[in-house]
Amino acid sequence: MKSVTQQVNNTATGSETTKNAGVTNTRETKQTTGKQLVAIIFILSLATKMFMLPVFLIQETGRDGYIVLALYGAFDLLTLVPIIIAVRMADVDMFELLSSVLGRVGAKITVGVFWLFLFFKLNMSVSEILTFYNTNILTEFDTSMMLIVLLVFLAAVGTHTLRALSRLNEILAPVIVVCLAVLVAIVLMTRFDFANILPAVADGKRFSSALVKHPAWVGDFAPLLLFVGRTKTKKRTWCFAAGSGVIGTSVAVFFAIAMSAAFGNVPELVDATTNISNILQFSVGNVYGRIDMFSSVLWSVSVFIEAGLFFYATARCASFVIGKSAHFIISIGNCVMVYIVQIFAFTDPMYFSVTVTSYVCAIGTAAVAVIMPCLVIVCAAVYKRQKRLSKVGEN
Amino acid sequence: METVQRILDKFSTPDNVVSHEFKCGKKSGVLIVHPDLSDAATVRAVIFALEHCAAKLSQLEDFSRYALLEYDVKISSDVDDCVNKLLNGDLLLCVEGESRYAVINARSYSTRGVTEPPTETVMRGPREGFIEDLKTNLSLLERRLKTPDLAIERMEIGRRSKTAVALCYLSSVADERVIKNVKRRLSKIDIDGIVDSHYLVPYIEERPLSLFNQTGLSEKPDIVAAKLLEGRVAIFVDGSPMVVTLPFVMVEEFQSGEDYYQRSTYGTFVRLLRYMGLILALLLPGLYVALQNFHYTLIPVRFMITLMTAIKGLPLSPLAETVFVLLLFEIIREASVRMPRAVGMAMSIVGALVLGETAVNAGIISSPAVMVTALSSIALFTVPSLLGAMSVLRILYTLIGGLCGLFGLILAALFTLHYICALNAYDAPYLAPFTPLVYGDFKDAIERSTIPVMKKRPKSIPNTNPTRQA
Amino acid sequence: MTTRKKHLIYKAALFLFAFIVAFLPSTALRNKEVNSRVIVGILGLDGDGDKVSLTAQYVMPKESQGTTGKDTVTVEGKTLDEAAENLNTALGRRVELGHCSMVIVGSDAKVELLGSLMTATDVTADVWMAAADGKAKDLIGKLTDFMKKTGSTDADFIAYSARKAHIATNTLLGFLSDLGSASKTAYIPLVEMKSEQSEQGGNGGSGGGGSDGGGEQSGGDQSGGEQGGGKQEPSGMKVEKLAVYGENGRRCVLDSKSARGVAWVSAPVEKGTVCSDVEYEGEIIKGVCGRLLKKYASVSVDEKNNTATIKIKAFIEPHGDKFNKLFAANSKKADEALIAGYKKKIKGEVESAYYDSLLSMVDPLFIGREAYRYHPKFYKNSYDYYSISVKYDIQVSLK
Repeated sequence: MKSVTQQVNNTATGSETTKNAGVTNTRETKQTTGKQLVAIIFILSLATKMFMLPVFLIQETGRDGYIVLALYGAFDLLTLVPIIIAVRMADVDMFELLSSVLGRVGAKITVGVFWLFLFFKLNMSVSEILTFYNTNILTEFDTSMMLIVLLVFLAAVGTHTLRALSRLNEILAPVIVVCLAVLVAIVLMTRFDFANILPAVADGKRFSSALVKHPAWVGDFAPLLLFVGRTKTKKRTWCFAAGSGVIGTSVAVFFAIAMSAAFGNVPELVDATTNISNILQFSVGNVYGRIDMFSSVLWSVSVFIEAGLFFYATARCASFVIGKSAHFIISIGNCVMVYIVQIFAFTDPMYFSVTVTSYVCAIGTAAVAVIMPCLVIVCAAVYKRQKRLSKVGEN
Repeated sequence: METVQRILDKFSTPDNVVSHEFKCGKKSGVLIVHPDLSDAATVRAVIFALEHCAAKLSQLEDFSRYALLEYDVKISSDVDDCVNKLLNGDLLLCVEGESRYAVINARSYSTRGVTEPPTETVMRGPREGFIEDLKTNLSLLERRLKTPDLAIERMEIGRRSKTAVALCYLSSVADERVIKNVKRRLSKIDIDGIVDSHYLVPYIEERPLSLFNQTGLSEKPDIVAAKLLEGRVAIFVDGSPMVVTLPFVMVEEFQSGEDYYQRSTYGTFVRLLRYMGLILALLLPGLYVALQNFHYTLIPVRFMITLMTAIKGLPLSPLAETVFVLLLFEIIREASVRMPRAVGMAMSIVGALVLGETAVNAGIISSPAVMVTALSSIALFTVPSLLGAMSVLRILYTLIGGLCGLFGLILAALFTLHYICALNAYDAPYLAPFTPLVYGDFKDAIERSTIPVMKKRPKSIPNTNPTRQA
Repeated sequence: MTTRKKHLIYKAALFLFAFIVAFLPSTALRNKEVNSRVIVGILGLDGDGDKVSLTAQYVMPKESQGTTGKDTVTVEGKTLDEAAENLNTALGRRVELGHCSMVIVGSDAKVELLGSLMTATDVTADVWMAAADGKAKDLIGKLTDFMKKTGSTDADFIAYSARKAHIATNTLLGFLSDLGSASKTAYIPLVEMKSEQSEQGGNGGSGGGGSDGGGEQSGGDQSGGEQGGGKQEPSGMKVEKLAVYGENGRRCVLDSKSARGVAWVSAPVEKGTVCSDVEYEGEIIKGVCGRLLKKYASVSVDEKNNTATIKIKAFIEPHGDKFNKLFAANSKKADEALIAGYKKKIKGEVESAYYDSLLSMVDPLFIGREAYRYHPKFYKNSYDYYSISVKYDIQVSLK
């Protein structure tokens, strides 16, 4: 009884204060938690993959779009492995790792290339958002105005910390999961004709052409390299992180299957107005009121978050390359560049699709998505070795 | 007497204080008193006591040793300090041949009684509320926390007002870094005077320009005691019934003292209602305008027909109409709060019945817009402490919904959420336990668990002693 | 963050806010408000030679809350786009097609129009399809009169049929998807209106799931009644037949027996009423009815034997006084007799659907689609709808 009283009322013992006391990760230099990492992996694994990619793939391949998407998903999951290892290995952030191993100039060049990749991906996601809202929900709305509204949010993300973005992502993840669960339930409850995806790969040429043209959509996990050295993780975080990646990709593939089944026979009807909300209309009919539409509008928040993460990563890489930490100014500069690219280059969907599906973009994106995480792992290993050696030297 | 003159010289109008000359034995003395702040009976009693023991008094120390045993007496030679004490209601005793002063506590000023605070009324539970007297307020708290752990650090803030401020915390529970941080911020305040605890708030908040409260304010000793038990720090200000508590997380806005005095199931239900109420209040007008302006396909057809019937022939656009009704509501609310109670009643009748009803009948505004605003406003009152922030945000959301549709509304909501996620005062994440996720703290977030289940203090609030009960 | 920086941020934010407030109205407020729209509930599509004719049943809100008035308007154009634009002009407002709940297709409308209806207009893919015996325009006119008479506000009766009655229905996307499949066939339920005079010989105006015998009769009466001349008040609807489409347009109309056969194979149809003649101890008891509780249907193709098997498993709950009489006499025997009766009935209906479709060179049972899905090589090289032999595996369970 005495010990209990002590524990409850009197000054806590040393061991207790460090073990269970009320502290979150706010005080530490590590800005994100393992749970936040798991949540963001889930969102990244499905956001842009479910958004417009199935539309482009079905237009290109017909009913085999889901296979191409599944292959991209698997590729991205493979790139997730080195990222997870890097997050686990390193105690310092990516920029410090690269600087200590490659030297200041080498690191800046590497980060510059990475910045190009991130900027391209950022523009892709922004363009997808604008296309979707412009043709589906806000027709007759000026794109440049919409872009400004979007850029205000992105600038806020770029100015604030990774901690704030991770928290935003963590709080929205359950909403996205619930919306997707509603959509999955509706599809499953309605005797959806999934068999319409058969026969698989009936036209090999169209299939391979689609596979080669769209690798610009891989590399969604790359901005997670910004989490290296800044994530407070536990032992089992890695399992959960991998699990959430697999589940997210499966959800994306599930909806791609449903969409391929719905539009497999009539790929010519698929356009930017058709996203996952329409697949329900294939078999359900308008009997669920508008719950499906609301769910689809809400789940698309994940694409905003993905764009936000890409923007944050772009801003931080730019600030490393420039060598200044004026985040607000750099974010504004980033916004201006995105605005210029979107208004002068990507507004025309033709131009967008030609650029994105060009071989240069496809090969470049896939290459950076693989090379960058591997490079960070190597740097982390070298950094650890350097540190160990310097400790031995000191002793 | 020179010592008396030194004191009187400090006052721009020396008539404000009264000097009583007296003789005790061979020595003559002067008692300086501020008649508005001191007890007149004490002056008489002090002179009587001094004359009674005149024989024993030779030094100033002897006065407190023999004559003024029942009084709180301090010896001081600092004139400024003595003037300050005099202005707090103390008596100053000057004796011939002594350059020092004896300061005798004789403070007495009228205060109101301990009553139920109007801002936090409860159906069940304690009805005591803090008053404007610091001493009474501290005693109310000390009666609830009878432990030597309860630390009360006093300080004075305000060059001219010299307001007494007390920092209270449980030394074995509250986090030292939080205490240091609060003290550092308080000590940095250099102002001529503070008249209420609200004056302190911008100095101790990390983002004083923010729309959101980053400090808790309470008028009830039971709530402040409960917050101290969770590891928070309370700041009492003399002359204010509002006590500031820190660190503050957003969940506290949804908690009410009464939650803990009701059945836990009902408490949980009420809290859920508050969360739903806030979301409804914030988004409903914006959503209504966005759906009407841009996304009719999302409105079910039967509702759309009703809507079309209602807004047929209205001169205002949906956005202008809704913003107009919202502003009308804010004006009526503000007017009824400022008006005396009797007029306020008439005010609400005029506002609600005459203005609303007539405007709808005249075809200036539609009944759905009035209904949406009314529903949103009633929902807003479920979380009264967020009234200010949410009223502003609601109008902004309505504007954005009307101009950019769901796209803008989603982005505005994301922007706000992201901003709140970035708030992090005193190492307490503002949106905890939702993000960063702290499972243990959910017992007192959306759910109101029973007290025996809440064995640990909330992790979201930095503390050094996690266990509350065995 | 320094105070200067903060000021900079606030200035930038204010500038941005001013920019948005100043410029957005010019673009955003150009958008139409809900009040400047006309809701179209039902859209009719007719082809008249080279012209396209669109008939819209639109809804007008009335003074008293919630009540509506309905009316129809017909416009023509060379293309669907032109006709849709003419519809705006005819009504003097922009039409809101997003809330259109049904598209009625006239007998001479081309199927390509349905594809462009989905891509070029706001009509959603989930809109229900219905076919008219003649012109869609005439049917919508009668339907509007009928809806005014009954006071119904929308056209969800096809949705009712889809869920509760034994009728195969289709959505716009479903129709186009079926037509684009290997079977190149799609169907739409045919809606007929019954008039006041024809009701005397009819079966009492049940919407979709009535017994088959009476339905046929009343259909005949209706055409007779129309020929009789004079203004006739519509008294009810009949949805019993199926209009079957091929790539070139409407190929045939399946009668109610064959339409029920198609419904047995259609996966979404799960409910409805089954009535059958039952042979019990040498005596034929007519019209023993039961309620269909659940059913599973599948079509499988055996490429080696060049056969297709239609497998149906139905769970039926018999009811009514005729069943009770049988059941009271001998429950086991009654069950056996009922199962045999229902099996015969189901098989007869599916067979009828198959043979009728053979005559019109369409495949509403989607045998070709199944062959293409699971045996694409066989489908490409040696599949022939006319040479494949069809087997029936019907199972009935009584509940």
